[in-house]
Amino acid sequence: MVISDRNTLRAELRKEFPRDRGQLLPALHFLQHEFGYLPDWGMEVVSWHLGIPASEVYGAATSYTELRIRRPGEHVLRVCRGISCTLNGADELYDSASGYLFSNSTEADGTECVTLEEVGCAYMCGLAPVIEWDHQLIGRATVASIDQLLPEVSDR
Amino acid sequence: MSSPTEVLNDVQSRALDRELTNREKTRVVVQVDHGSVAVGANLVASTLADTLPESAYLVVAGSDGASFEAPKILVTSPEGQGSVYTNVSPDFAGKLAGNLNMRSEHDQSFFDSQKRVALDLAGEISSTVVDDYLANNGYSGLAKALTMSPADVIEQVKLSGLRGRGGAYFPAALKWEGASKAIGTPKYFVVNAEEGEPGIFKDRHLMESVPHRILEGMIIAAYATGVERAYFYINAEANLSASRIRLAVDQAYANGFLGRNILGSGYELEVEICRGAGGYVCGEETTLLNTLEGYRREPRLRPPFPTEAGLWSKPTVINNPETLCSVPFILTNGPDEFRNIGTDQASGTKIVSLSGSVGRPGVVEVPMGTTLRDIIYDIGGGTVNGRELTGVAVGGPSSGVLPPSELSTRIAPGLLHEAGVMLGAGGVIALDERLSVLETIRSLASYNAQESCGKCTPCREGTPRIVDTLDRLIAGTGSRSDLDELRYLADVVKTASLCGLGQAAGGPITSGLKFFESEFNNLVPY
Amino acid sequence: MSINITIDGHDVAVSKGASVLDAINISGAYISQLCKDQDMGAIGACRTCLVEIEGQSGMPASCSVPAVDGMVVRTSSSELSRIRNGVLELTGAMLGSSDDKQQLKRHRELSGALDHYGVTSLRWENREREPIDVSNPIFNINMADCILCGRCAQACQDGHQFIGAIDFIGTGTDGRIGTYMDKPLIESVCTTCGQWLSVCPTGAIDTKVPVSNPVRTVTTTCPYCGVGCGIKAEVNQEEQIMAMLDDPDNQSSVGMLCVKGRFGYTFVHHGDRLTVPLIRKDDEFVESSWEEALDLIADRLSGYSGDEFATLCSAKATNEDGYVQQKFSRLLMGSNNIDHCTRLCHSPSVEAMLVSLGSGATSNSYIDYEDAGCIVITGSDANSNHPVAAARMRRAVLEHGAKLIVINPRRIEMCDFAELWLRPRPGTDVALYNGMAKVILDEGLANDTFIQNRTEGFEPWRQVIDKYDLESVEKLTGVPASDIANAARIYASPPFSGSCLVWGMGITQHTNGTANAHGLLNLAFVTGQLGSPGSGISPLRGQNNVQGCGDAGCVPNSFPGYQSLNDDTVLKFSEAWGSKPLNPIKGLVVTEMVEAAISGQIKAMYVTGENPLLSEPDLNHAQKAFKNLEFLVVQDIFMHETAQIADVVLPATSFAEKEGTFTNSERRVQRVRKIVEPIGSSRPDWEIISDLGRRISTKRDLDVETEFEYADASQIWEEMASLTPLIAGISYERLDREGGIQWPCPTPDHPGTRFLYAKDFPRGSRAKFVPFEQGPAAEELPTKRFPLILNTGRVLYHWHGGTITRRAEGLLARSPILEIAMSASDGEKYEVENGEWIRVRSRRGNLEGSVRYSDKMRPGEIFIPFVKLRDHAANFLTNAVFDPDSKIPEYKVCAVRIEKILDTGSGQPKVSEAAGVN
Ligand SMILES: Nc1nc2c(c(=O)[nH]1)N[C@H]1C(S)=C(S)[C@@H](COP(=O)(O)OP(=O)(O)OC[C@H]3O[C@@H](n4cnc5c(=O)[nH]c(N)nc54)[C@H](O)[C@@H]3O)O[C@H]1N2
Ligand SMILES: Nc1nc2c(c(=O)[nH]1)N[C@H]1C(S)=C(S)[C@@H](COP(=O)(O)OP(=O)(O)OC[C@H]3O[C@@H](n4cnc5c(=O)[nH]c(N)nc54)[C@H](O)[C@@H]3O)O[C@H]1N2
Ligand SMILES: Cc1cc2nc3c(=O)[nH]c(=O)nc-3n(C[C@H](O)[C@H](O)[C@H](O)COP(=O)(O)O)c2cc1C
Ligand code: SF4
Ligand code: SF4
Ligand code: SF4
Ligand code: SF4
Ligand code: SF4
Ligand code: FES
Ligand code: FES
Ligand SMILES: [Mo]
Repeated sequence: MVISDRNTLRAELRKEFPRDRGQLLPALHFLQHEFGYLPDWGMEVVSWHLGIPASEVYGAATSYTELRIRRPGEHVLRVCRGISCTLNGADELYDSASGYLFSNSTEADGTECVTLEEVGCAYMCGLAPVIEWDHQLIGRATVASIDQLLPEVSDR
Repeated sequence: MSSPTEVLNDVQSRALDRELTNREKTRVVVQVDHGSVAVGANLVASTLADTLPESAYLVVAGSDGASFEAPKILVTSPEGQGSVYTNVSPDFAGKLAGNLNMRSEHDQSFFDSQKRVALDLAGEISSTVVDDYLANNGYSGLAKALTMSPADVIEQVKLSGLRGRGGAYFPAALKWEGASKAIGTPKYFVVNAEEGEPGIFKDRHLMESVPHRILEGMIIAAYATGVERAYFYINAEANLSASRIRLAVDQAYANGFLGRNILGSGYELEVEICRGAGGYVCGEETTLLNTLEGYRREPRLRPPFPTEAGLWSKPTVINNPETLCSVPFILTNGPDEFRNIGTDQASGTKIVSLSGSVGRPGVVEVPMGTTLRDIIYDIGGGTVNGRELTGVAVGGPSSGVLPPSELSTRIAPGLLHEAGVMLGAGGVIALDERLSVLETIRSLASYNAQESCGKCTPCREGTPRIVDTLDRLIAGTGSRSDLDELRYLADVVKTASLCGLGQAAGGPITSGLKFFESEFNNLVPY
Repeated sequence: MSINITIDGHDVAVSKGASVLDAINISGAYISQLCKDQDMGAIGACRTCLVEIEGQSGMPASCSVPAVDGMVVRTSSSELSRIRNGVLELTGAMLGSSDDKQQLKRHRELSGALDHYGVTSLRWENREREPIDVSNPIFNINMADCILCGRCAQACQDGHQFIGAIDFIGTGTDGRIGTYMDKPLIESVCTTCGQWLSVCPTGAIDTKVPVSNPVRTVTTTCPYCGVGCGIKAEVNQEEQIMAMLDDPDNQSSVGMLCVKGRFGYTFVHHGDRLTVPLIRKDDEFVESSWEEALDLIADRLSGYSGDEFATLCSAKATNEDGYVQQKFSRLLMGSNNIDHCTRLCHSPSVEAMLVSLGSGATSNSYIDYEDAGCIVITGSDANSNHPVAAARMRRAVLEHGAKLIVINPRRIEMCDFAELWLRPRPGTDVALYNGMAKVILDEGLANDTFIQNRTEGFEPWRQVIDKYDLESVEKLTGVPASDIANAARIYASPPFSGSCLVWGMGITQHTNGTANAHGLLNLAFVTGQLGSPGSGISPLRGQNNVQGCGDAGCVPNSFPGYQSLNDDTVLKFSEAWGSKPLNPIKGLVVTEMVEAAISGQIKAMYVTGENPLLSEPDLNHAQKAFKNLEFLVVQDIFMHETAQIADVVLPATSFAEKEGTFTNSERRVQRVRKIVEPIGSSRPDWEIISDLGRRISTKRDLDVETEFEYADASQIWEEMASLTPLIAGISYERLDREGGIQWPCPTPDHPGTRFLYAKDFPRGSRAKFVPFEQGPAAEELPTKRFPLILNTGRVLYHWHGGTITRRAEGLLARSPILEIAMSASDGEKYEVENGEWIRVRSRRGNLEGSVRYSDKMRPGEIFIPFVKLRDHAANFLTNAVFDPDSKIPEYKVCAVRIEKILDTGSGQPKVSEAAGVN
């Protein structure tokens, strides 16, 4: 089912989550799963449904690094900049990715096509350097891996 | 009425029966975990699944810790002859399926100096089917515990000297005892598998390779503390870990290890799986509780401690998966056996996440008291391409950096060096000249600043000022007084901060200033 | 049990549960404590309260360490100051560089700490912060001055108000205090209560009008609503009130205030205050001396007596004022035509309680809400009208897990916290309560012991209840049967403790008001939910001193303390007041007075602190009545609609300029203290009336001049207490020492009474079930020509007709125009847009206001507060029909229609009757 408005979302939340503050994170995960981020109207519905003041929903949402308040680009490229990855060439990967994106970064409507992010560690340092493309991890990554991914989207 | 041991024997022998039907075939184990998937292990596995002949059967295991060898396949013939294939490609897997007798040489030095208590089955048994674990005496510790009184279970663990492996090394038995004596019901148990500390990836490794061992430890601990409801809290990103644990939990329910009347003992335990939402400090235990209750990712004040007033203000025990993985061993083999491992002060093993400039990075398990040298050289095979080792970052951003001259340091709970280096959750990152020690320290410091939840002033305001000062120094615009400033800031942040993140955030600075003084001095004019 | 600990070598005893910081504060030693508010829990964020504790390593924050017997604590050492000063430097550096030290002076607690520890070197660059939020008309938030201590968020959340307009947002140096989606404060759910002003240690949140150092602080009681919050008034050099602070020691408000209490005081100094007596000469008011005005009144009033005279007392004035005024009427004018606004308010509650219990007051206390397992709130919009009591109810729900049940046709904010919201059709509450009672009886949830031992009239009542099966109740009320049943179950057996029943004007202001009130009382009786902690019945009292006004005898049917007009009490008061026997015949109530004025029976009236020409229903009708009087005196603080047609207008002092007492909704008598000198030549009400009384006594040769010779307010209280057993044990001396005391308090050593009816009832050992049937929902129901139901009431920012709040700039700025709330679907149906200026008409009159689409309204019902803004007021529309038992007007239901105002360009708006007319 496509959740497009407050009422369907509310009905959906009512089905999935009991009205209990402990359900906040699960509900926000649900929202992010549906939309790729937390739209403000959606957080408002979560606030009603769980009986938590909207400011506190927002306060919590902005405190978790994996929750997104703003809509990300169609793709998300993350480059690990942890120590093992840096030691094994993460800087080069990052520079090459941002080089691409600098020239081809936005859609006509101004939204990013690819959101480039850094992470502190991808938790597989034994396979450094690591990048992540739309939630898929790539270990022992090389500039070639990036060359493979990015032209695909920026050429469209 | 039959005893838990008898009930378990039944379950185990049914598993063995199923195993027996496979005995005639060639066992092909493919190691699939979040790390190996990132280098194509899932493709290898699916190729095998599609192409293996009838005479072989496929086992999907977690990793054995040798990241440098992933993807990896283990083949054992019906006669018991084994071969190991490393860094395989899907292509190779297809060829191997066609010729299972293909020979291979395998260097075992990565494993030779390890002592595997928690990891002894990792990478060898299935991580998606419970039978392998059962066939290897799995859940025997639980059966044994259930024949004892909770107090006796605690006593066994107390005798073993087991301390928490999440980084704080609090004696496990004391924590359980505290919660079991605390007033208030219900009591809760939380497995802290947040693992958000950079450079550490051992809990994921455990969840993906021996999920049932964590569950077994958890059920024993919960029984000992009188808990009827447990939460298994898994990092938001660790999807594979979560799905393996979810599977294991289902199997545990189905086999009578969870739910009502566990193994016929009358004991009842329910488990719920929860996910974090990102941020290093999420793993700090009171922050984790806030997360579960729907609050901001911020620590709570202590006291009260979670054992008195934790989740929803009820007595709560929080343990790390690694801690729990030692518990079945202690119950089955007895506390003395456990004490025999490690040192007099620190019993048992420690799982180390080894990475950086080492030839053989991965997850390794060694007795407490092992030297860093042994870990980096004997197990890790020394630096990459024989580069010069310039330092070792131990314990991640909450700890510090040691110079090569300190390689004889033995790992131990807590402080490894008074300059602020701690074992923490056991990250060991070898450094070489490709990344200067100062850059490393800056990277650790900036991670702390970035992860500061912002609740308390010294950490929120102090950690970025540390980074600013380092930046000044590295850019060559710093002055001598900046060195004092760094030392002072590190002291203030360490002493005055509210939670462990800030309290440890001074480590990289104090250790750096101590061991790499000349590097720092070189940055500023006299 | 007390704990002994040593602070810097001095022994200190603290009680169990105290923190080390508490002990330090008790010891008198100074320690910085930037994130710990005196009356909220520890946050532990500022890390400036560091100490050393013997036997412990490190420097724990003393606010979060419990004091333990024998602990040895140091607040200073060189190492401590090294670290603490570092933290303070980091804190100071959030604000600005060292050159800005001057600016830091403003930052109260923070600058105090910096000064104390001599921290001067703020050697870092100031960091970028969010811009200043000036959206609120009363205060600004300047994030550049914020040290992120978190106290304001705590105050807005579970520390005090349970509103949650703001929270800590973001992490690390991106951390900030903000609203949902970082919108301007004014767009959030902020109620402008200003609680955070009182907690901010830096002045980051500050009033737009700058404050200077106070010369004096006076502890007194809020003049607005019946909650009766404690306030501390700060007076500046110019002898003006400069700020109102909350009072953590006050038992009723426990450190809270709402927007009116905190910011609504500016009316005191408003230029419109009446400052001299005014006498109408040739249809114009001319200023006069007190001599001339009082002599004139004495002259004229001497011409009337008994039933020709009536007086309205003020529920805004003090107990003492009220006492003197009713004494004046009974003793000098021989008239029991004495009443006050309670008639328009809780008279049905009082009426029903008198019959069933023998006394008419709230039985429990606010603390009982916090202890309750279930709170039913019906016909009351407590968030707007009793904000601080509402905050305590929210605490009950959010912190203690109480179940809240809201009964209201309109959605109110409390619904956000409710387990159940029942939405009856207006005027059908009798059926609803009878239906709930039936569930309770049918499901065996009745408290049989209570019924048997402590009630009477059960059987006949039961027979009536039997007729109210859920199916027909659902049909009548529109509330789903399952909700009714659930509400009944929760109320009868709450999850823990007891159940509180709270109600307001939605119950009383109906032609079946008394029936409603009996319906509620019966629910309490059948379940035994009264007379124990955490239970009870609460008609939330409206005006600041409406409880006290009744207590003081400003009612037509009894003397002070509800001593009825029987032979004994008439004799008692006649003797006490040195008079020939007083008039024993019950007088007229407010609404009867209006009719009696029209018929000419009442010829002269004396009105203090009440404005019937805005508060009475059907104002055109009321105007006719008051204009018909031969002589009208109005004694008020402002020239309002009623004063405008008076013969003499007398300037009274406001609460801020006099001594006395108010009694709040939980029967707590509290002191009112003079903050500033009277404005102009205004005088306290009691003083004016006493002066006048002496003159009339002389004129009439009654020889009771001494009865009106009071030196001060405390003498009046003493006289009243000596004649009134209910309050006999309360004295100013005790109030000053102990704070407010709850009546009954019969003796000086009596502690006061938290809840009533623990053992018996004023009427005897048994409470009485009184059955009522559901009558017609209202006198006037929608028709084709008048298709909408008009519900009138209040909004947070205004007080009644607005006489006062229109003169409190901050409040007016928060709510400047009259809003007509309706559902969006009605808006579409009648083709009026959100924000459109429209006319609403009833059979009696019309008004204009601005359409406000609201999801709180049900189609077919509109809501208009009865405040008068830009000359438009709801009471031009309301219906002057009355509940037969209590004579309360039916303010809550009348039929209206909506008319569009079409501007034809000729300057004269044309009215189209398109909407609502066929
Ligand atoms: N801000 C502010 N506060 C005030 C006052 C003020 O003027 N302004 N006045 C004070 C005074 S004197 C008083 S008496 C109190 C009054 O305080 P309340 O009793 O809260 O008064 P109202 O605003 O009139 O609202 C009563 C509620 O009853 C509901 N209602 C209407 N009809 C029905 C019905 O048939 N059944 C039920 N169950 N509910 C119904 C309305 O929707 C409304 O929400 O407030 C006091 N506090
Ligand atoms: N449509 C509609 N009408 C209603 C209601 C409703 O819900 N709907 N509610 C009714 C209710 S519950 C009530 S209580 C009435 C309230 O009606 P009123 O009591 O008429 O309203 P207020 O405006 O509070 O009048 C108080 C007056 O006292 C003056 N005053 C303040 N302090 C003092 C003082 O110390 N001394 C003197 N002498 N004067 C002072 C103020 O200036 C003000 O003029 O309105 C009723 N009218
Ligand atoms: C910043 C910070 C992060 C932490 N992260 C983790 C973590 O990811 N996993 C974990 O088990 N413990 C973590 N801890 C330690 C926990 O607070 C706690 O001590 C531990 O979970 C207890 O389990 P144990 O006794 O079995 O070690 C962290 C502590 C701090 C201060
Ligand atoms: S030390 Fe850092 S992470 Fe911990 S509470 Fe303080 S600001 Fe947050
Ligand atoms: S004024 Fe009151 S409601 Fe508004 S943000 Fe401050 S504390 Fe919250
Ligand atoms: S605005 Fe004031 S009270 Fe709120 S966090 Fe900032 S300094 Fe503290
Ligand atoms: S009414 Fe109460 S809750 Fe509302 S703003 Fe005022 S104090 Fe705050
Ligand atoms: S709740 Fe009532 S008494 Fe308290 S401050 Fe507000 S208006 Fe005044
Ligand atoms: S440093 Fe990149 S995965 Fe850990
Ligand atoms: S007052 Fe103790 S930390 Fe702020
Ligand atoms: Mo009222």
